[in-house]
Amino acid sequence: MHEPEAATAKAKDLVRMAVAKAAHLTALPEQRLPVTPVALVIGGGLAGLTAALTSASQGFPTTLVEQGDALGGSALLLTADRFGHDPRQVVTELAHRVKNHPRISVRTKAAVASVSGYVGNFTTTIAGKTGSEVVNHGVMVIATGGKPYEPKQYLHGESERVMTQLELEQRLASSRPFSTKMKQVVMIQCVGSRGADLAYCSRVCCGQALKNALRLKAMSPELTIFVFYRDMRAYGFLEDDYLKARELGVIFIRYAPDNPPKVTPGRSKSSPLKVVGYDPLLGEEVELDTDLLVLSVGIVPEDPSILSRMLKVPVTADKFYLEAHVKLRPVDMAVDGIYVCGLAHAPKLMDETIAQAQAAAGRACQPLARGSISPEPIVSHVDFELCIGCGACETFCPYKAITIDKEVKPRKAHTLTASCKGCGVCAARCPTMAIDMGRFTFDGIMAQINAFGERV
Amino acid sequence: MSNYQPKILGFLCNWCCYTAADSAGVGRYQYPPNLRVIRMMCSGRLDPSFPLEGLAQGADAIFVGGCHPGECHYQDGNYHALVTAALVHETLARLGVNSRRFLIEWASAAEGPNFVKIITGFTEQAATLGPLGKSEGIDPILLREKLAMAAATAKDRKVRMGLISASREMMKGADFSRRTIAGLVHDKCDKVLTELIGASVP
Ligand SMILES: Cc1cc2nc3c(=O)[nH]c(=O)nc-3n(C[C@H](O)[C@H](O)[C@H](O)COP(=O)(O)OP(=O)(O)OC[C@H]3O[C@@H](n4cnc5c(N)ncnc54)[C@H](O)[C@@H]3O)c2cc1C
Ligand code: SF4
Repeated sequence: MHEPEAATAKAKDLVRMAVAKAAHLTALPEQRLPVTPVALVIGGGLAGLTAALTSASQGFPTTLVEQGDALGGSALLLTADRFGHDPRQVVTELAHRVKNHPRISVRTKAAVASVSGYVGNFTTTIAGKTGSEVVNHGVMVIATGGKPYEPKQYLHGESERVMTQLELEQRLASSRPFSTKMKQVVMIQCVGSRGADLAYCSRVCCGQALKNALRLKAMSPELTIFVFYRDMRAYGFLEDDYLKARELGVIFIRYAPDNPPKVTPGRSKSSPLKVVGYDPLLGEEVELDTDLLVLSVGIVPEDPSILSRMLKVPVTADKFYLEAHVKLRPVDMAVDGIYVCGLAHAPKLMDETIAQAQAAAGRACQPLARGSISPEPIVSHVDFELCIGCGACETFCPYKAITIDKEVKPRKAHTLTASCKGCGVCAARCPTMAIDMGRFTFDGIMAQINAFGERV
Repeated sequence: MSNYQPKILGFLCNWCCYTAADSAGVGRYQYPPNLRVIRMMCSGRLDPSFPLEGLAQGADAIFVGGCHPGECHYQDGNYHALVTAALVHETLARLGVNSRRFLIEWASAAEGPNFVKIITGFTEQAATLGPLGKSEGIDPILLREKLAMAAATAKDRKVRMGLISASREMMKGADFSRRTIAGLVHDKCDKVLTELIGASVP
């Protein structure tokens, strides 16, 4: 970046090297492998339910694995969306449709124990309540979701007057949410997010704060609400909520990350609090008597370490599953046949989760609908003239994809093209250079090296 | 730090380092433009003649990048790459080439920033070493000729038989430390390398 000449020189070199390699390319026979027309969805939250329903309604048998004992996930913690609909009801209905769908089998209290195979032909062992079960499937969708961040800061857990936005949602949906004596509410944004605990912005909490502020205002218009924020992430139509909140008199005070508001406890666990923060518009500290302090906590992804290792798919430093390409392949994983959606991928609102889950299931159905896949023909092949039948390749092949035929004399190595994944360790070890790799030939790579050398 | 712009050739595995390089680009991380990349499916594909030929063809330094130990997409290709790398180091030592001109390191697909750190550090190191032959005090043309010969030697059947037994013993012993692997490769290949290339330059 910002080194145009060096970057152009690099680009020229890379193109020259690629052309040199291309001169050595030959037509390779394509294989066709059958696809098991079954989908596996991991995670039974809003994303997993939507994905399972999408693939099943396209006609493909789908197995849904949920580690908990119930379906629904994080959406059950919310009591309204920004239009006032109750997500708990919608998700419960969705779960009902999934459970009763003739092509979906749901496994709750179950976990993926092992996975082998590749796109079109995965074999997964699911450990469940009643022992383990093997599922053959062609594709899988990761929808393992996330959890709310659990705050320790701002007296959460110490004062009854401090709660998270989720806890506030539960209260708002209860029959007697608040005492009439409540006069002043303070919300603090980015709790846990964009800092030491979670490096990223959790995306949903600004919208959630606006939504809940409007709900509070609708309940008692007299209430004073302050929102301490760093940047209000009111994107898209959330801008309307932000404008409405301001019109209704919600006061937004910006705070700097190194000077967050301070909370002083009241006399007892249940007494009102004091929140002191610096208001950059007034240029001075404000002290607010607070009946209720609401923390906009962020989202923590479900720990992906075991599953990501099993599936050999990358995760980001923040432990979200990393898509193959942000713009070109936004729901694919780097491993073919594996897709991702929902909070497992990144923080997002419910509508975004639904859209992404449909996208992931749509992508997943492509190889299923095609009925067969043609793996890259990058397999090994053996030059029988050179092969001395030593069997080194057989020893090192991780897939038993190259073997010495002991029946036929003289002994020669043979590639099982359907099993070969093209890693090339056999070629690197063959003592007589009898093995070469499709598209990554010895001569092709040597040509790249020579082309690299031409300009230096 | 030197201002010399080293020419670096890299062999990156498709699943980890190549993807890491890609995601570093997508993530707009800044890193030196000196690296030229050749993609392989697995670092285990690395033939010992590739890095030697790269140096012979004009590279000042060679980088090989794979997945972290235990995370190879093909189970243990990166361990075999360590065996190959040990042979390259053995050979370089015999030709009097500074061993710091050849590096094999790991960055997972998710570790764009780590990849950037490795390449930045390696580029700085190669810049300090200067053009091939300089830190060695050897005439570069002569040195490149010898490297080309060594690249051809790496195709020798006896050398490769040595690598096969080193790889076998590594898998059997299940000790994948670089030191152990270097020891195995030295044991298995010392005799034939001394015969074909000469003894290690002290
Ligand atoms: C604090 C917070 C506030 C939010 N506020 C709002 C809001 O105001 N408005 C809005 O629209 N959205 C909001 N959201 C986002 C909304 O909840 C999500 O977009 C949506 O619910 C995500 O669904 P999901 O299926 O991706 O994940 P989840 O609902 O988390 O579901 C994941 C499921 O996968 C299961 N699972 C995990 N790992 C495994 C495994 N290895 N094997 C099997 N099963 C597994 C889990 O048990 C869980 O049931 C908020 C989210 C949070 C956390
Ligand atoms: S969405 Fe808002 S509150 Fe949440 S982390 Fe981002 S900026 Fe902070």
